[in-house]
Amino acid sequence: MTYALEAINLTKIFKPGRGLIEFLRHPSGKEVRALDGVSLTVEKGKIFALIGPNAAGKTTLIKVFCSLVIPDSGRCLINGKDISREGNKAKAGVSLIYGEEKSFYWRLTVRENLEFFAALYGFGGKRAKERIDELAEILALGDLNVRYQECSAGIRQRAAVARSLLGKADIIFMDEPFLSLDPGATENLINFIKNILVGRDGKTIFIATHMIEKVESFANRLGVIDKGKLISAGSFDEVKRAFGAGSLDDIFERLSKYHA
Amino acid sequence: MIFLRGYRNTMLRKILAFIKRDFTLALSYKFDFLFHTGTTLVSLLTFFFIGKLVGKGAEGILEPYGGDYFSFVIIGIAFSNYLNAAMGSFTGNLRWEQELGTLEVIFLTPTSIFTVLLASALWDFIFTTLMVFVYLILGGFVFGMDLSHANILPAAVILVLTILSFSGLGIISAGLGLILKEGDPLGWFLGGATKLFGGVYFPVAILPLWLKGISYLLPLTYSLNALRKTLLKGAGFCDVSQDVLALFMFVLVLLPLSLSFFSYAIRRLKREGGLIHQ
Repeated sequence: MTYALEAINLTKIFKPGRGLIEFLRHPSGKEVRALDGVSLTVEKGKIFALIGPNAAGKTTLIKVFCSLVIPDSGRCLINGKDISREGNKAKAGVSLIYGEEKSFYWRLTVRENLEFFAALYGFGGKRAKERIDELAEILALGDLNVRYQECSAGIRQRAAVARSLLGKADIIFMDEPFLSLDPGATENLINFIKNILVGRDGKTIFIATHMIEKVESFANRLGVIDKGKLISAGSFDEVKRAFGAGSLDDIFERLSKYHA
Repeated sequence: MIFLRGYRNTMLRKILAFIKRDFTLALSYKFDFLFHTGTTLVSLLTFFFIGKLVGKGAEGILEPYGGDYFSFVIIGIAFSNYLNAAMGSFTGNLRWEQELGTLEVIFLTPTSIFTVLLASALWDFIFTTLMVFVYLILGGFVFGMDLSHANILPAAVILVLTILSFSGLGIISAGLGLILKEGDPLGWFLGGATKLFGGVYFPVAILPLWLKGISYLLPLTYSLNALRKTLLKGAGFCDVSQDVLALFMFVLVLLPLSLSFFSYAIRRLKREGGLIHQ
């Protein structure tokens, strides 16, 4: 079976370097084991939620899948393609959305931003305009001719979703996508993920989030990561059983106590 | 062939998208062009009067370039702007994208690192060319700089070699800037040293022998020498062949070296997880 995502024994240690360059860069002096032998699989067309405390390794895992961070060891497969060997082909299948999305050109309008990224995905002109208009309608982006700096947090987040859908990605990584959204906007994004991205278009979603109270309502499977180790992964019941916990809150509470 | 044509079209579309983005951003700063033109005018006026002060005293040493200090220095300042653009644009634009968080997003699109690198610097070179024209037009029509003997074809070839060799330095500086995340030491050194030793304000010939050695290591020295001779004295390819050869050698060494170093810098950042400025 070909999984949408497969991590095999991924390890990533951020080491404080030595030498002149590190001296000039104010080294932290601390070694951080961001990923420690992480192995997991995500089936196509499913929503996988990864939860864990701050600095658990969630973002690093996403960046490794997106070829933005090179792991020290282990393998990473996107739709069966090893990113270390077929990086470009693997990369074409993924896109990434951050929480508190700021990675746009603030003095350009939403349309100008999306047109720029459409061109980087290889299409422009009428085709880009039609695709952007279509996404704007689905995502209720409103007036596209407003500068990005004047948009609300909700619109910015939706613009990031629109950008992630410009290419041919069938796997979308979301790193804390609900971070700056109000409850209404959060609910809208969850519905969009469930009904349109997964339900209609069959995309695979990988979400790293702290919003454990919501995660059960939309994700199919769950992973718990802490200090770079994937402690448990599976269905919600399997993960709760593994922790001997009645709820996700209990799991988080145990992790917090462990850290304290 | 159809595949290649498709690749070329996509590549061209991406490059044009960068230029359009930067042009639109430049337009959003409405007074920028006026401010630059004002600065150019002040610079022209300053050196016009310094030229009057220097008068005929420097005619001998400036004879290979037509003998007029004002014309000599304006060519130096105008074309050294390409060095400023090269040192500033590659480093500045990438660090800006890094801090904005767009660098990671761009790298997730099917766009090569080198397309990103080169396309993001193009607008700065276009803008610099515009400002060089402002210098030459104001210098010629308002301050009486004599460009009637200008030999355009060799000057254009020298300009291309100049931009390419400066780009090599700029790309090395960009790679260093991405790794260090602490400013741009190479840009700082080259920006200062090149103007001092590259012959922007005075001919390299007046430097003592031991300082001339530094001048001959800088592409700007050859570039300005050849540009002044072609634009002010109408020199042809044969007259500036040594400078053209030196610039060509700089391009041959610096461009591949800079691109390799930049690839290394990106790989290093990916190992460190530093594509976003932290």
